[in-house]
Amino acid sequence: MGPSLNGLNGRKAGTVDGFNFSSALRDSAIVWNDVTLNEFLKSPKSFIPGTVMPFGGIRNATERAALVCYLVSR
Amino acid sequence: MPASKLTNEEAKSLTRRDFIGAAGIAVAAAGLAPRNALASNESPGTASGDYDVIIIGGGFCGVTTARECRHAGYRVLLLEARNRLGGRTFTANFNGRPVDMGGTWVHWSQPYVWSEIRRSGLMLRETSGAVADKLVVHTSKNDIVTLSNEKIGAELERTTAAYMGNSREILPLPHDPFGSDEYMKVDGISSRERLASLKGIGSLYRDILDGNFAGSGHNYTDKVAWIEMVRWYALSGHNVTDMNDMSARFHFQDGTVALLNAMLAEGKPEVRLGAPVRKVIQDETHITVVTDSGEEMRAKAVVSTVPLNVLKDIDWQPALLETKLQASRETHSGFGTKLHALIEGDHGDFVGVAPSHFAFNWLGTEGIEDGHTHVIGFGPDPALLDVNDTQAVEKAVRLFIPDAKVIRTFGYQWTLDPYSKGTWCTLRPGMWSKYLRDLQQPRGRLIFASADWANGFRGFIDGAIEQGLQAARRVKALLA
Repeated sequence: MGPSLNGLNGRKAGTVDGFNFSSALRDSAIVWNDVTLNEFLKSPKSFIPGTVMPFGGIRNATERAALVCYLVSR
Repeated sequence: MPASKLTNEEAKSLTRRDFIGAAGIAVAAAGLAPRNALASNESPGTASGDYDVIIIGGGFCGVTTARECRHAGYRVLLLEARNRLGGRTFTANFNGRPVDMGGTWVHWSQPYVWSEIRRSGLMLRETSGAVADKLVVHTSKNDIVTLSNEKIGAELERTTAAYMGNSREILPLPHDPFGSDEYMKVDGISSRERLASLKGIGSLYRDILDGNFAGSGHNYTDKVAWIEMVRWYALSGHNVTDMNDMSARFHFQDGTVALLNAMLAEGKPEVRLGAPVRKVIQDETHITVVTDSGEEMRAKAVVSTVPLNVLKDIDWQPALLETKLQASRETHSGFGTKLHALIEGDHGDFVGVAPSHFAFNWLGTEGIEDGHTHVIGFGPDPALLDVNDTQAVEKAVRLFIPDAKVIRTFGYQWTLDPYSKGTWCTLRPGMWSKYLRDLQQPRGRLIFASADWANGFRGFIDGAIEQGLQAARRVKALLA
């Protein structure tokens, strides 16, 4: 369903081989870190208009922070 | 999803045992293409020249068309915008088990999908809430009323029959939407208007019916055409028990992906994932399809299985029929929520029903798993419930179980998916007479097929397969 999330911290968005990213994500020039992931997961479609990920975001700041912490540690 | 009137525990266990035993032996997993085998481009190359048929969209409709066209010996390309096949069906994992986030339930009254089930030998399972004896109603006055189906069965049958009216005259041939002109007389009536027009139904049953049809139309009941609910009833043999069984009782043991993989293994079409189509250009001899990345492919025939709500997002040259575009802008009514949730503790088999404007219209036990209650819920509007917010879902579950603790929850946000922009198709009031006939029309070498305008089980997996078979017949006539 999605690209591998291992080694996400420091990776340029939309650059995993073998996964078909939206042009919005591919062209975003975003580098994933705790700040960008927090913004993206708060509201993916606001942070990257045109993303095709069918996900509205995590509104609860505590739950979002926990997920971001987990993702950047992998 | 009306509540079941089945009450007898013995009958329930007999039914389950006999049915599952008769459904055939499980197909060995090794014999099927695993889901992940299709998670990357399978096309042998991009410079592949012309195809006989390009199919846009890899849901059940597209996969059916692809299989049939491959059997006819055509060179077939199946293009899919997402990184997975399945369209508005999607088997994921929840609580360590395969679950369906989209289209789920099947029934022997559905001729096309039932034929595929028998053909593949796949196993089915039962959603235990569908045959639960306990119905919990959260009323419009915010009371919680718990009833046994034995107690309400006859009255539910009577009031549902009153709501359905002269269903045999309105839809004398349920698999033929134009088999009589009667539908035109009632097409403008919403489910809510129909219910409001009836006398002799108490407030409790009004709440139950309103909740049932909000769940079935997946929206507030003023957005749902009454005749669509009559269609479900007519297709189910004009009775509420079979309508319940048809819509929410039996599902694939290993998820809908098991059938999808069985059909793909038969057809072995060339598949291209992550290839959203942006433009379709038709000339006298060919059709050119242009993807998001600018790649162009050509075929003698194209089958679009693009859903109704997304049709307007593709650049069709020449332009689509204006009525097709209007219908796409208007959208069908399927805009609600669906989720799986795990509630702490064993709450048994139950179905909860609440009227149209509540966060859930229908919540039912899927099964008791490791001492906890796995439920499936449907609501009318994503604005009323964030399906992935555990606290919000817990609050909504408490409409029926005041002390419920939700351990985890999972829903796919179909309305945010740019390749579906909604859930299953139920037409809004007036759409049947205004648009349905035109939505089905091909244009030259371009054939439009979707469960969204199927003749019989519109909005169901069965309707998708019906349309896929019809599209393949049209391709054969075109290329003969």
